[in-house]
Amino acid sequence: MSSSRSSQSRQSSTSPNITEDQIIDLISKLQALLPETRIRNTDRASAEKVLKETCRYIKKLQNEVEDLSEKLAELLTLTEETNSAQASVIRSLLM
Amino acid sequence: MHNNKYLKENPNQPLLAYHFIQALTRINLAAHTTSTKQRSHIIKHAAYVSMAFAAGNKRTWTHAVLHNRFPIKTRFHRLSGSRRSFIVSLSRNKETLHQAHLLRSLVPGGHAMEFSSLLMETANYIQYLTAQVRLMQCIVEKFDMHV
Repeated sequence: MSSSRSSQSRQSSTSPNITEDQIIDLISKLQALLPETRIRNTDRASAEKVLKETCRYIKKLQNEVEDLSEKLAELLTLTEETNSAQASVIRSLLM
Repeated sequence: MHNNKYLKENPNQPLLAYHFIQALTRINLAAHTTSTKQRSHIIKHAAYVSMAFAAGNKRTWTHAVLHNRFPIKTRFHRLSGSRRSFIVSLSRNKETLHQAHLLRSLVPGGHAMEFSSLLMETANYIQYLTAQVRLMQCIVEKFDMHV
C-alpha cells in the first residue's frame, strides 16, 4: 500500500470513515479475482458492474459445488463394492 | 484487519483437501445407508465446512458457515450496519445498492457486514470457492481414472 494510504491500515474495518478511494481500491481488487476482465475503469458505473459480475461468479461457483457434489455422490455409489479402489484413490490424493 | 491480509492469502489447499477428503471417507463408509440425493447434500455441506475450516475462524463468512449452516438463513437484517458505511456517492446509484444487497445474500453472514468488510470477505470467499471447486474436479477426475 502507498504511504498515502498508511492511515488506512491503522483504521479498523469497522471505522465509519472509510473513504471512497478505499472502496474503489477494494472493488478493483475484487475485480481482479473475476474471470472476465471486460471492465477496465474503476469509476462509479463500473463499481456496479463489478458487483454484478461478482454476484454472477459466486452463483456460478456455488452451482458448480452443487453439481460436483452430485457427481461425487454418484461416484461413491459406484465404488461401494470396490472399496479397495476407493482407498487407493484416497491414498493417491493424500500423497 | 489490514486489507492486504485478506487478499494476499492464498487458500490453504492442503488443509482444504485434508478436511474434505476426510469427510468423503466418512460419507463413503455410510454410503450404503444413504440415497444418492441425501449423499449429495451431505457432500455439499462437507464442501462448505471444509472451506470454512481451511479459511480459518477470523473471517465472518467462515463463522457464518460453521455456526448457521449454509445456505445462510438470515434471521435478522442488520440494515443499519450496511447503511452506515456505504459511500454516499456510490449509494446514489440504486442499481449499485441493489447489487450490494444481492451480494450480501450470497456471501455467508453478508447482511451483518459493513460494505468495506463485505468486499474483503467476498474476495476471500471467492478464493476459497474456486479452490474447493478445483479440488472437487480433481477428485472426480481421479475417480474417472480408476473406475
